[in-house]
Amino acid sequence: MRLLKPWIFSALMTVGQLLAAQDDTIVFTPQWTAQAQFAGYYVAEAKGFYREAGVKVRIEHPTVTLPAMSRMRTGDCQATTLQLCQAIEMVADGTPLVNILQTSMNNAMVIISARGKNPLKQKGARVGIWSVGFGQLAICMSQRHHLDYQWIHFAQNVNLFVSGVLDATLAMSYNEFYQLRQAGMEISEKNVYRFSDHGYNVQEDGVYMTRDYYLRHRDQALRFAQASRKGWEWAAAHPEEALDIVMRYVNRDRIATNRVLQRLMLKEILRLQLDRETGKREFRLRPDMVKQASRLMKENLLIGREVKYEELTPNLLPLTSYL
Amino acid sequence: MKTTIQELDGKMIAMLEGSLDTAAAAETEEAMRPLNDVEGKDIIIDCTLLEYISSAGLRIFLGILQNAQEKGGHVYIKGINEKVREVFSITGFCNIFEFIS
Amino acid sequence: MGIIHRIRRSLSVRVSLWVVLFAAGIFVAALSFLFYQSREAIRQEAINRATQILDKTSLRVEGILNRVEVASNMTRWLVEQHTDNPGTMFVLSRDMMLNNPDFYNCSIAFEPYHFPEEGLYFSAYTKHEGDSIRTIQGGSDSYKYFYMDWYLMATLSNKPCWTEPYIDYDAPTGTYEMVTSYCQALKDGDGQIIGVINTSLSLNWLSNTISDAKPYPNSYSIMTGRGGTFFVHPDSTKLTCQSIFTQSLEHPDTAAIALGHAMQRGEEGMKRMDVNGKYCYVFYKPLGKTGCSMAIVCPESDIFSGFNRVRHAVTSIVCAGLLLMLYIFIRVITRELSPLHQLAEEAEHIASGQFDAKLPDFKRIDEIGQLSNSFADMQQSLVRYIEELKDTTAQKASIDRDIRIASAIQMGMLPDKFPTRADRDDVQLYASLTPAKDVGGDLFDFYFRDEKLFFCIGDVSGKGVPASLFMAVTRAVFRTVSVQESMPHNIVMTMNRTMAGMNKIHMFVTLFVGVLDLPTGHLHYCNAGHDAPLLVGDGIGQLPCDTNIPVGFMPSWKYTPQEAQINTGTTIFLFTDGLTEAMNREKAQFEMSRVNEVAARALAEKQQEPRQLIDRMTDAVHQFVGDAEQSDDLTMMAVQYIRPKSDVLMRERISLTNDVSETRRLNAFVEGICARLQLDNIFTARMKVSVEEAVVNVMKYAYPAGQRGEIEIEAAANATRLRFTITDSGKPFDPTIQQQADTTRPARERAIGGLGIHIIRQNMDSMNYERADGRNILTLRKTLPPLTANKVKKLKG
Repeated sequence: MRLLKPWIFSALMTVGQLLAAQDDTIVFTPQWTAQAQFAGYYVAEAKGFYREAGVKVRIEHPTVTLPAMSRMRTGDCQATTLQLCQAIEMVADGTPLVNILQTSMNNAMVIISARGKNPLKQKGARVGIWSVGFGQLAICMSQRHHLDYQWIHFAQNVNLFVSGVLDATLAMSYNEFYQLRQAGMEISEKNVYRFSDHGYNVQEDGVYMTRDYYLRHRDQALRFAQASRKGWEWAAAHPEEALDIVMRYVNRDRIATNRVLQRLMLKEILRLQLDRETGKREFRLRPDMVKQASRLMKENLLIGREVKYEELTPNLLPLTSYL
Repeated sequence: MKTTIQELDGKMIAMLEGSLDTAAAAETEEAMRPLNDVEGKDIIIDCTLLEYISSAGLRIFLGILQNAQEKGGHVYIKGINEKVREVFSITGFCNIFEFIS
Repeated sequence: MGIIHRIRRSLSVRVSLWVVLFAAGIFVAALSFLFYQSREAIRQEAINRATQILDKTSLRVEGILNRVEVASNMTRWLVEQHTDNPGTMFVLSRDMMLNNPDFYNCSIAFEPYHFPEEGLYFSAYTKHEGDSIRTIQGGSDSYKYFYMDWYLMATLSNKPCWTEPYIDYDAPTGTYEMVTSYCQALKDGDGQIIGVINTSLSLNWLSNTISDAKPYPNSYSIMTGRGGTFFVHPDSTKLTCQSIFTQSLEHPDTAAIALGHAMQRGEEGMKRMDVNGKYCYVFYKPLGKTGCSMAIVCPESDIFSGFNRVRHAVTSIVCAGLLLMLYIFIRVITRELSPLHQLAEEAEHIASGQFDAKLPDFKRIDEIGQLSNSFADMQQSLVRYIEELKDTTAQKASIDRDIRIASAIQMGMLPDKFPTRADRDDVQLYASLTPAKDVGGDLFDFYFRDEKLFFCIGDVSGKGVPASLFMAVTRAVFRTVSVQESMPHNIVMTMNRTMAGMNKIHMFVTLFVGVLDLPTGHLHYCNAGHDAPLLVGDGIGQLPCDTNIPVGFMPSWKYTPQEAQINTGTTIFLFTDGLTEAMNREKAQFEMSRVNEVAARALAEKQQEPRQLIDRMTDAVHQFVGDAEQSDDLTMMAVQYIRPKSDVLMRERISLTNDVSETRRLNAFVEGICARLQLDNIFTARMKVSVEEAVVNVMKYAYPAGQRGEIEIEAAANATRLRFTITDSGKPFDPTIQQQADTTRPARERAIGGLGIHIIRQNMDSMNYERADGRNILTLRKTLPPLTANKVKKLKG
C-alpha cells in the first residue's frame, strides 16, 4: 500500500488534470478585428483542426478600444496574439508569458509620410500610432534618430491620415499599407520607411498565454499550438479557400473591409512568415530577435529590464515542476 | 560488094551480093541511086545473096523506102538470110519494110 | 460562292446592286450627320439634367450642414462660457438635440482630467432614443473618445471640420447608423484646447436623397468619402467596405483612378468611362465641406436609349427601303432585259446547230432591238459561213485523198525491186525511204546501164507536197540526164542547170550521185551538198566529199568530179540527214556517232550486206526515237560491190586507122576471134556488126574530119565472157549516152542516127565507156554460150 499510494495519487492527479484540460475551453483573442492576419486560426477552427486535436477553442475578437492585451490581463481570454515587442513589454511589466506558437518571422511595420516626403526628414512631425500599443520599435527608432515625432494615438483606421491632419503614420505592410492605397494614396519607395530594411527586423505575431495558465494547461496549449500551426500551413497551401473562410469571419463581424484587401493581406502575412535566411515557415521564436528587441526597448526606456529569450519559451522551469 | 539494078515487069529489082558493111555503104548507096529517080514503081531489093549488113546499110534501105513512099511506090525486100533478118529485127526495120519470098 | 456566282451571272442584279449601294452610301452619309448632331444634343441634355440634380442635392446638403455648423458654433460659445461646470455640459448637449431633432447626436467631450473630479473621461453625450432624448457621460475605458477621429481631427486641425462618414454602433439599441460629424475644438481663455464639441448628422436621409437621384432608369448615384470609400452605392456590400480604388489594387483601372482622384480633390465635372463593361457618363460634384463627393453614373445606353430607338427604326426603314428598292430594280431591269435572255437561249440553239431557229421579233428600237437585228444578221452570216465551211471541209478531204494518192505515186516512183544474188553477182543493193508526212522530199534512185550502176540519193529542202513535187522532178531529171551522161559531176551540173531554170520557189536538193563501174569497182561520184556516204568494208570510213552546193539554185556552179576505188565486199552506205537528225522525246539527235557505231557492229559481225545494214540501222533508229514523232524523212541506201573474177584465156588486138575502109580488116579480125572460139554464124555476125558499129562510131566522132587517128581494138575472153575494148586518143566522146541532135545533118539521116548504138546494145550484154589517160575506152561485153565456154577452157588447156 505504501508503495502504491504515491502512484495512485499521481495517476489520479494526471487523469484529473487531463479531464479538466479537456473540459476547459481556450478563449483565443487575436489582437485585432477579424481579418486575414489570423487566417490560420480561422482555418483551424473552420476545418476542425482544433476538434481533431482534442482542444476546445473559442475565437473572440477584441473591440476597437479594448485590446487583446487587456483581455488577457483580465482573464477574458486565455490565449492571444501579440507582437514580440508587446510580449516583451508585458513580461517586463511583470506578467510572465509563454510563447506557444510564433508565426511571424519578419517585421511588417512601415512609416508612410504624406505628400511624398521622406519620413526620416520630418523632424517633429505628427505621426499616427495605434492607441492599442503597437509601435514600440518606431518609438525606439525616432528616439535613436532624434526625430522628436509627435505621436498621435488613433483608434480607428487610416481616416485621420487621409484627412490630412497627420504628417505621417505608422502602418502594417499587410493592412494599413493597403488601406491607404485603397484610399487612393500613391505610395512610392520615397515616402515609405520599412523597419525590416533598417535593422529593425523583429518578429511580430506570436500566440501567447500567461505562464500561469500555460503551466496548468500545458498539453492543451501544445495541442492548440499545433492545430493552429496546421491551420496556417493549410492556409498557405490553399490561399483562396482560406480567404473564403476569412471572409466568413469578416462578414459575421461586419468589418468594413473587402475580399481584395484581405487577399493582399493574406499574401503579405504568409510572406512575412517565411524566415529571411532559410526561406521557410519556421514557426519559432528567434533568440537573436528577442535579444535585439529587448535591448532596443531597454535602451529607449520603454521597459525597465531586458527580457530574456528563455522567459518567453515554455521550458523555463524544470519539467517536473509542472506536475 | 556487088549491086545490080534491073527493071522487070514494071518493077525495079536491086540485087545485092556480098557484105554491106560501113566500108561498102558509100559505094552501094551510089549504086542504088537510080532507084531514087524511079517514079511510082515498086522496088524489090533482092537480098538473097546479101551476107551481112551494118547500120550504114540500113540507112541506105531507109532512104530508098522514104523516097519511094513519097512517090507512092512500095519497097519489098526479098530473100534475106537469118543473120541479116536479125539486124532488121533488132532495129525494128522489119516492121516498116514489106518482105516477099 | 453561290451568291457571288449569281451576281456575276446576272446583269440586272449587278446594276441594281450598284444603284442601291450608291443610294445606301448617300443615306449613310446623311443619317450619320443627322445622328451625330442628335447625339450631341442629347449628350448636352444629359449633362444639363445631371448637373441640375447634383446642384440641387449639393444645395440641400449645404443647407443642412449650415444648420449644424451654426448650432455647433452657438453651443461652443455657450460651452466656453461655462468651462468650469461639468453639469452645464449635459444641459447644453441636450438643448442642442432638443432644438434640432433631425441631428443624430451631440457630444461635448473634454481633455483627460479636464474636470479632475470627473476623472479621465468626460463627455456629455446626447442622442435621440425613439421619441425621448438620452443624455449620458460618454467616455469610458471601452470608449476612449480622445483616440477617435472626430476628436483628433478637431484638435489637430485646430478648426471646425467634418469627419469622414462612419458607421456608428449604438450599443443600447444595437443599431448601426452611418453618420458624419461636425467637430470643433473648445478652447479656454488662453486659447488652450480643452475639448471638442461634436455634432453628428445621420447620413441616411442624404443617402436616400442621393440614391433617389435617377435621371435615367438604369442610372445610379454614388457618394465617396475623402478616402474614396463608397458611402452610397447601389451595391450595398460595397458600402464602407470598398473604395473607388479597391478594384485597382489588383487590376489597375486608370479611368476609375482618375475619377477617384478628381472626386477626392473636390472637383466638379464629367467623365465618360467603362464601368463593368458598359460605357457610362459619370457626373460628379463635391458635397459641401464634408469632403464627400457625389457622382451620378448614367449608362450611355440609357442616355441614348430614345435616340437609339429612333436610330434603329430609321436604320431599319432605310434598310428595308433599300432592299425593296433592290427588289424592284432587279424586277424592272430583269423585265427590260428579258429579250436578252431569249436572245441568249436562241443563241444556244444556234450554237447547238439549229441555224434555222426563228429569232423573236421584239419590235423595239432601243439597244436591245439593235442587238436583236444584229443577231439576226449574224445568224444569216453564220448559215452562209457554215455552208462555206462544209465546202472547204469537203475540199480538204479531197486534197487529203489526193495527197494519199500522190504519196502512193511518189513511192511508186522509187525503185522497189532490188537485185538479188541470183540476179547479180557483182553488186548488192538495198534502200528504204520513210517519209515523215504523207509525201516526202527524200529520194533515191538507181539503175544499171552498160555495166555501170547509176545511183543517187537526195534530200529536198522542206517537207510535204512542195518537197515531194520537187523530189519527183529531181528524180525524173536524174533519169533523163543520166541517160545522156555517164560522169556524175556532169549529171549533177546538167540537173542543176535544168532545175535552177525551172525553180521559181527557191527550193533545192542535196544530192549524191554515184556511178560504179561494175567490172572494175571504180566509182565516179559527185556530191552536191549531201551527207558524205559511209564506206563499210576494210573498216569504217567516210567517202571524201568536196564541198559543192546543193542543186537547184545556182545554174552556173561548177560541180567537181571525184572518184574512188571500191574494194570488193565494201558497202557504200548512203543516207539523208533524217538518219543523223532523228530525234527522241528529249530532243536528242541520233548523231553520226551512232551511225558509225551501228555500222561498226555490223561490220564486226560480218553483217554489212545492204539489207542487213539498213535493217540494223532502222532498228537502231527506232529504238533511239522511241514513241517520238518522226520529224524528217529518213532515207538510206546501201550498195555492196563484189568484183567479178576474171581469168583471161585469150587476148588479141588489132590497130586501125580512122578510115571506114578499115572495117574490112576489123570484120576479119572479129571473124577470126569468133572462129577461134568456135562460135556459130549467128553469134559471129552479132559480134561483127556490134564491133563494126562501135568502131565506125569512133571513126565518125572521135576525130575531126580529115584528121588521122589510131583506133585499137582488143579482144579478150575468159571462160564465160568475151570482151572487146576499143581505145582511141580522139576527143572525149561517150557513145553510150544519147547524142545531141545534130542539126547540120539532113532530116533523113538524122532520123536514123543512133541506130548503130541501138544495134550494139541489142547484141552485146553491156557497152561501157570510160575516159582514161586522154583516151576513150569503150568496152563491149558478151556472155559466151555455155558450150563455147567449155571449148574455151579446152582451148586454154
